[in-house]
Amino acid sequence: MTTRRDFIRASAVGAAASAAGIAVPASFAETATTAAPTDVKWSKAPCRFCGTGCGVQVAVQDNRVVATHGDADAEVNRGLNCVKGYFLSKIMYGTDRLTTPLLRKKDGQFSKDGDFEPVSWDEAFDVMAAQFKRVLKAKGGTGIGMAGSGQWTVWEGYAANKLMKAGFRSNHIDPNARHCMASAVTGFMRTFGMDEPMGCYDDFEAADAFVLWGSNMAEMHPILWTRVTDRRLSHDHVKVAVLSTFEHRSFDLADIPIIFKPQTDLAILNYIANHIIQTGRVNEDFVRKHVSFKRGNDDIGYGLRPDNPLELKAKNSKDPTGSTPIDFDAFKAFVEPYTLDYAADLSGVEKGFLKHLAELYADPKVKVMSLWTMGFNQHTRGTWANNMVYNIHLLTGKIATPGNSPFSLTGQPSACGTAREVGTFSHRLPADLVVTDPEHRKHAEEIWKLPDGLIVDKVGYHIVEQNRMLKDGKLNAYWVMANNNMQAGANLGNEGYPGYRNPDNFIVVSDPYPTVTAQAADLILPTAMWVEKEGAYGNAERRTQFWHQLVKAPGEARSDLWQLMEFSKRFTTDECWPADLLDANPAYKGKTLFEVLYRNGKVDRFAPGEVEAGYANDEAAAFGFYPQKGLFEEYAEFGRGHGHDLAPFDDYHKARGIRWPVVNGKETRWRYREGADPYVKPGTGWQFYGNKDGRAVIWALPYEPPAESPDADYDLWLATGRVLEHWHSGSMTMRVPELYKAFPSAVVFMNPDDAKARGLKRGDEVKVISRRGEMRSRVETRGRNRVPPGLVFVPWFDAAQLINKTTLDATCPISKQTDFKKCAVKVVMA
Amino acid sequence: MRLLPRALLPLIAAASLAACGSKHEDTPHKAPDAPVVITNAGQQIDAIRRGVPIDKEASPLPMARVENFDRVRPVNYEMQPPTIPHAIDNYQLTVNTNRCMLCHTRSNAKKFQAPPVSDAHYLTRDGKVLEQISSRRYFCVQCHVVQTDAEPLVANRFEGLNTTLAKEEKR
Amino acid sequence: MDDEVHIASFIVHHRPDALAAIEHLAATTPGAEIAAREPGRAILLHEGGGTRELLACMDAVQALTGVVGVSLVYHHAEPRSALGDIVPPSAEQGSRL
Repeated sequence: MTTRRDFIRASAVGAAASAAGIAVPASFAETATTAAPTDVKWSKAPCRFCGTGCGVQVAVQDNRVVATHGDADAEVNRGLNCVKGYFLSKIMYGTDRLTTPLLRKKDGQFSKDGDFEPVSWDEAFDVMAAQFKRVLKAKGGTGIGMAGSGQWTVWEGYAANKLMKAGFRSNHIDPNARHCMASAVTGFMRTFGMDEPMGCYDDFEAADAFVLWGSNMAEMHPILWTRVTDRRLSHDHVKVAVLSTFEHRSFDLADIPIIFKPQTDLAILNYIANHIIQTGRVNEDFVRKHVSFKRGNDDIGYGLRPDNPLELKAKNSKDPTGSTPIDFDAFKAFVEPYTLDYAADLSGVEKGFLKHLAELYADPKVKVMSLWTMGFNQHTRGTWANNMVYNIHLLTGKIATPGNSPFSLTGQPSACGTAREVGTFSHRLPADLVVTDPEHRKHAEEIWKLPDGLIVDKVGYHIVEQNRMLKDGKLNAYWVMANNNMQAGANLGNEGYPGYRNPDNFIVVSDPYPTVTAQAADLILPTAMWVEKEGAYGNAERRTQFWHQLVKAPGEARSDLWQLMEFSKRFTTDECWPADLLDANPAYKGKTLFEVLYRNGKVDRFAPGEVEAGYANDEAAAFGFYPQKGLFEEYAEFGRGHGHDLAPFDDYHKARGIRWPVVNGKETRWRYREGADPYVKPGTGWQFYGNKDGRAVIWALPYEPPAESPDADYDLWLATGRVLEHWHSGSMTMRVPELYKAFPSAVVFMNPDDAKARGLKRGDEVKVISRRGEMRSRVETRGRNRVPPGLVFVPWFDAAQLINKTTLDATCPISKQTDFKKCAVKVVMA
Repeated sequence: MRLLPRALLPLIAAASLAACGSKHEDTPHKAPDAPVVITNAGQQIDAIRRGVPIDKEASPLPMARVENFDRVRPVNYEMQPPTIPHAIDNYQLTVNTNRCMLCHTRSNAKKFQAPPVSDAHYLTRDGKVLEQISSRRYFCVQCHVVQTDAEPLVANRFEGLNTTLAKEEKR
Repeated sequence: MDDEVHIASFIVHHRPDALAAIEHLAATTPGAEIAAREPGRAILLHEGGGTRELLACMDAVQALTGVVGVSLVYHHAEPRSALGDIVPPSAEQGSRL
C-alpha cells in the first residue's frame, strides 16, 4: 500500500534520477505521477537555436517553462550552453506573442489593404481555402507555393512535403535552408552522391589542426568552439587557422590568421591542391582506389533573372552543372597555375600564412578538420567551394577517420534533419531522392500509397525564385511557415516586398511572433513554438533528437503540424488532382487530402495512448491518432536499408539523440569507412557508396570573380552575417531582455580609417546604399569585428534595420543559394 | 540595365526553353516593369520596427551604452550565467591572454572584489574536477554578456524558478 | 494557510572526497536523505515545512568544500493532512499536464 507521502518521495527521486541519468534505487521504485501545480518537472530537449544541437534540460512548473540548463548527459555539449541557450526559457514569453489568427479586413471582408483583425481558425481556414481553390482552379498546383523551414520539426517538414507535392501537386516548396545549406548539399551530392557529413563531432577531440573557412564559430557555433578551444589549449601541437574577409572573435584563437579578398577563397583552395601535388604528398594509393576526376563547366553565371546581362554573357548559365570526366594528370595541369605567388597576389594574403595553411593539409602526419558554414555556402560559387575543400581532403586521403574531417557545419537546428533529409526542397523527395527521377517518384508514390504519376516531374521554384514569381504573378497562393523570409531574402525592396503585396496574391504566414514577414502577409496564423509541441530535430552531425510537448501553446496558437493536417481536410482529390488520374484510380475519387495523405493506414496507425505517460500531445488529442509517430515511421521507410537508416521512433525519446545510419541499434560515427560504417564492404577500406562506382569525385573548378564588386560609385564590400547574442532574424532573441540589452541594434562595422575618410565617426547615423536600395544605421568602429579597409559588415538580426534592402539576389547557379557576403555599397552620412 | 533589341528576345527565349527541357518550371524572362503593390501604411505589428513600414526608413535608435555599474545583477534561475555588470572594451581575451581571469579566479577574486567563477567551471568535458579552470570554459563571453542601457522594445513575461520559489516563501 | 509539507529532490555534483561531508550533513539535517549515489553525483531527498528549510539545506550542501553544483529537480508541496492517504494502484496512468 502506497501512501501519498511515499508516492511523492518516489516521484521526487525518480525525476532526479531521470534528469541525472542515474538508476533509481529499488527503495524508491518509480510510479506514475500526477503533476500538481507546484511540482517542477525536468525533461530533455534539444536547443531551439543553431545546428550544433546542444542538449538541454527544461524545467516546467504549472504549465510554464521556469528554467533550463545544459544537459550534462548530452554528448554534444556535456552541460554547456551558449548565452542564447541559457535563455531558452524566455523565448516563448514575449508579450506580443500571436494568439489568434489575424486577417486583413475591410467592412467585414478580406481585403488586401485592410487592417489585421482577429478571426477564428474556422474563418481563417475558410478564407485561406477559398483563395487556394481559386488558384487551383485557375492554374492548378503550379500557382501554389510554400516557404518552409530548417526549423520545422522532422514530421512537420514531412507532412508539408506530402501536402504540397502529393496533395496540391506543387513542387514549389522550398525551405529557408536554401539560404544556408543548399551549396553544402550540392557540394555533397556532386562529390559523394549522398548528402551530409561523413564525420561527426568526435573529430574535435581527435584533430591536430582546425581550419575555419569563412566561418565564425566563436559566435555562431559557440559550443563546438569550446571543443576546439579545449583541444587547442590542452594540446600544444594543435594549430588553428582562421580564414575570413574580416577579423572576428574566432581570430582570438588563431595560430594562422588569414584575411583574404572576397571570393579568393577559391584560388586558395586550388593553390593548396596544387601544393599537395607539387610537393609529392598525394596519397596515391587512396586516390587510385577511391577517387574519380571531373572537370566542371565554368562561366556559369550568377543565378540572376535570365535577362540580366551577367546571365546572358555567361557561357554556361544554362548548364551550370555540366561536366566532363578527366584523369589525375588533367587535374594536375588544371591546378598548376594556382601557384603560391598567384594565390598570394589575388587574395592579398602573406605567402608565409598560405604556405603554413597548405602544409596542414599536405603533411600526412597532421589530422586536419575543415569547418565551414556561410562563408562557403552563401557564395556565388558555393557549390564549387564545397567541392574544392573535399578535393584537398581526398587528394591526401584525410577523410572519414577520427580527426580527418571536412565538416560542413549547419546553421539551423534541423536543416539537416528536416529540410535536407525529408527533402522539403523544390527538387527533392525524402532520403536524397529527386522529383526528376521516375524511379524515385514511383518509390515515393508506393510508400505514400498514392497513384502512379501523381508527383509532378518538374523541379519547382526555389525560395529565391518564389519571391520573383510572386512579383511576376505566377505564384498566387503562398504559405510561409517557421521562417522570416521578408527579412532574410536578398533584394527585399525589388524582389521581396512587391510579391507579397501583389494584389493577385494571397499570402499566409505562420509564426509565433509578429515579424516583418507577418506584417507583409494577408493572413497570419498563430503558431506553437519548441516545447509547446512534440518535436524532433536533426543536427549537423546526423544526430536526430526528440522532445516531448512540455507546455501548452498560448491562446489559440497551434503547431505547424496541426495547421497543415487540419487545412488538408478542406480539399478533395477532385479539386487538386487531374481528372484522368482520378479516372484511372477511381478509389481515390471524392476523398479529402487529409484522408489520402494522413489517414492512409500508415500515418494514423498509432493510438494516442502510445504517447509517453506524463506528457501531453495536442495533435494526437485533436486527430485521434499519434501523428508524429505515424509520420516518422512512414518517412523512415525511405531511408532504412539505403544508408539513411533511422532508429525506431521510441528509441529517440529515450536517448540523447542517435546518429544515422542506425543499423542493428548501433549509430554510425564515420560514414564511408570500413569498420565504422556498416554499409561499407569489408576489404575496401573506404567506399563512397553514394556514387555507383564507390568513388568520390575530385572536381577541377577555377577561380571566378563575384557578381558585383566595389567600383567608383559603390566603393565598399558589404558582408552580412550574425552576432552571438541573436539568432537569425532575431524574432525570438530580440524579445529576450538580456539578449536584447546585450546587443540591441544592428550597426555598420567599419574600418576607422574608412570612417575618417568619409567624415564619419562612431555612432553617426549613416545610409548604407546599393544599386538596389538603402538602409539607415549607425557606424561602429570598435568592438568584436575589426574589418579591413574597403569592407563593411552588417548583421541581419534587426527588424528595424533590414540590410537585405541593399543585398543582391545573386546565387550559386548550381545550388540557388544567395551570396549574402558580397555586394557593393557606399556608406554616407544620413 | 539596358533592354535588348526586340528582335533578339524571341530567339533567346526559344533557345533557353529548348535548353531547359522538362526539368524546370518555365520562368518569364523579364519582370513586369512596375508591379502594382498594395501597401497598408497604417497598422504596423512588429514592435521591433517601431511603427516604421517595411518599405520606409527612419532614424535608428541611438547607439546603446554598456552599463558599467559593477553591481551584481540577479539571475532568473540557478544555472543562468550572470551578465557582466561592467564594460569590457579593450579587455583582451585571446589565446595569449585572458583578462577576465585577472580578477575572477578563486585566488584573485577577493583582492579585486570580483565574484569568483563558479565551481562548475572546473569540470572537464568528461566530468573530471580540475584544480584550474577547464579550457572548455576559456572564452567567457560565449556565455557571459554585457548589458547596455537599451530598453527592450518587447516585454517578456517569463517567471523563473527563483521567482516562483520566492512567491511561495511570501505565502 | 493549510499546514504544508514540502518534498524536494536535488542533484549534487561533487568531488569524490566530498562524499563523507555530504553524508554527514544529510544524517544531521532533519528531513534530508541521500536517495541515490554514483561517483561524483548524489541525489538528495528533502522533506520539510517550507521552502525556507529547503533552500537552507541546499545552501548548506553548496557550501561544503568539494561540492561543485546543486540543482533542484523536483519540488512538491502537499497538505500535511493528505500525506497518509492511500494511493490507489495504477492510478493516474498517462496523466496529461
